[in-house]
Amino acid sequence: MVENLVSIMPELLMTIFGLILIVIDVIAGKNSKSGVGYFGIFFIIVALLASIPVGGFKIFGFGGTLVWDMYSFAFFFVFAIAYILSTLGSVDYLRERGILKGEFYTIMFFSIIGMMFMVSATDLSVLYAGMETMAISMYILAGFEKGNLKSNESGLKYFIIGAFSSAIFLFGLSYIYGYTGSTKYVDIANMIQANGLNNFNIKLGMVMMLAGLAFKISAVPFHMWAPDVYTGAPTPATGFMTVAPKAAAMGAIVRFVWIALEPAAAQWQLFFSILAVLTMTYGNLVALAQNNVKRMLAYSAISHAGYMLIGVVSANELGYQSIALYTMIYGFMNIGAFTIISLLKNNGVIENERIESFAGLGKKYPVVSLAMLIFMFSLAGIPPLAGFMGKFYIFTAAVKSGIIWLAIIGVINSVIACYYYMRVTIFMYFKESEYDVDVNMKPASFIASMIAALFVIIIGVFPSFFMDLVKYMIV
Amino acid sequence: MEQLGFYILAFLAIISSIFMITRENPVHSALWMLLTFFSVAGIFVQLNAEFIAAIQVLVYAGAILVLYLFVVMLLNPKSKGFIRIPFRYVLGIVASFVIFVQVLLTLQSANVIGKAGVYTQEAYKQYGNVKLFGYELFSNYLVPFEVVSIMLLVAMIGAIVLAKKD
Repeated sequence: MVENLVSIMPELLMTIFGLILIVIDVIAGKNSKSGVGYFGIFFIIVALLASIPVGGFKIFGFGGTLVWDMYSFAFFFVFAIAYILSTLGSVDYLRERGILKGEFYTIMFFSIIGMMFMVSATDLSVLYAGMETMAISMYILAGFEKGNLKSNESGLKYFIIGAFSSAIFLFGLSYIYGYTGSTKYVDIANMIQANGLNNFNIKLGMVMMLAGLAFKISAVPFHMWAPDVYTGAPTPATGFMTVAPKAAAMGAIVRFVWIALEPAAAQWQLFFSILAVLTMTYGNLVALAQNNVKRMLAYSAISHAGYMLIGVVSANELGYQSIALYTMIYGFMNIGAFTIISLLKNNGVIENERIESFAGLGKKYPVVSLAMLIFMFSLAGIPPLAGFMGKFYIFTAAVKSGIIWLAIIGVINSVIACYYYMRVTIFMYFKESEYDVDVNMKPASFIASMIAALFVIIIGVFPSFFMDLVKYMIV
Repeated sequence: MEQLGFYILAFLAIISSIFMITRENPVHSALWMLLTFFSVAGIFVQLNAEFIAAIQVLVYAGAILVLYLFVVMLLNPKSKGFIRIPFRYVLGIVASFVIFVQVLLTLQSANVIGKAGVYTQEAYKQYGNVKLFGYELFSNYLVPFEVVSIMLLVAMIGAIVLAKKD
């Protein structure tokens, strides 16, 4: 009984806080809806502190359908970072467009509950229910700017493709259930161990389930929704969407393949290594040609999913630790970059997010440009910033488990990626401005981008503390 | 006798689904779809899955179909369909062929192992399918059941946000 309660306590706490947030939203006046977001930040910090597994304990609950351990906590930490940064960064953007509603924060808050269930699930039915909770919240966030056709398109597209991918996932799940007779990870592993992989059904089920999960992390060739959705959604929502759901799906994939499909390691390693190569290469090559920075970051989000997949393929302890660390770092740098993009306001004829908007920003707004420079360098993986440490650990994991070719492809790709990240900084510092661009910097978004920049530097300089955070067994 | 019932229902399902995709008028398609749902529900009853049969009728034939008809009536689309997808016949044939082969292969591999469940034939006879299903749902599968309630809450909030006039 106590074990059950402890294992679900963080999610329970978050649900209660989420319900309180709805009440706060109703009470809050029309002009103070940002308070809902700030209360959400307070709640999530309380929940985070209350759910630390002291001493790295590991508790299963509800007949082994749910587990709370250091690994779940590390991902909860990532979601909390994503929530805090995107909330702070979103207030001004949403207010300016007249869509500052409390529901934006409530939905984001509830999506985190779904993600927590995804990562801490040890049963496929919990994984699926959590995934749907996350996905539905994301569809709403993508289409949140009702008056904007692009946002509508983004929400609708995400919804249709997301429903499609869920169907594929469920179909595969039904095959696995039919073969193993259980939805629990441990039972699936035992069944595969005992009966081998020669059956057609288990292979088909595995491929379809992993494909369904690959849709959620926008791995090529399941990426076709990502660029349009990320470009069309409101910018702070995009920042959240590129980090948190991706981290959640990564966490779920790692736990699932590590426990349930452990006897089939050779198969899913091949599957994910193909996906990783395609994802990295495609994302980077297409990002080269983009002139819209938001769209460029959308493609870069695809390529970063590829780097994370290397950690899955390497299939050792360092691999999953570095995935957790990478998602954390990625949260800081990507949401920071999106926050700054959301502040730009081009008074000329072109879109706000075009790369020309960045021209000459270095002289006009030195602090903002410096923060953007830090994020771009970190995304490109230049030492001593955090992005370098993330990539370093991932490639080390790959080398340790003997898949050096994948690490080499990863390194080549991060070299290619330098071009388009550097292009933004070149525009900022070496080009004269053609258009009249304002940076609409308000305290909230200033704090968000500064926290992000600060952590990018701190993690880059002291990575070991953050690595220790994720250094516990998941099995 | 049971065999005969199955053949009638399966035949009905196939015929009505073929009619469903070939009708030009969307309302006619929807009504054929209703018939498909009912015959599939009948097959579920034959498989001793009364609960799923009831859900099939309530959710699909009841809620989803009505929603469908509402949309059709509100949008009043031209009879030539909503969207023109290029190569739609080719795509459709390929997709259905792949699924057909997949199902055939699955049925072929008779050694689908599975694990015998904990409920025996006697338990089914004594308590009935629905009761056992409910017991499982509220004991072993309590967590996903509760997560779904959170999901519905989010979906409701989202529907209100997206549909409400500012």
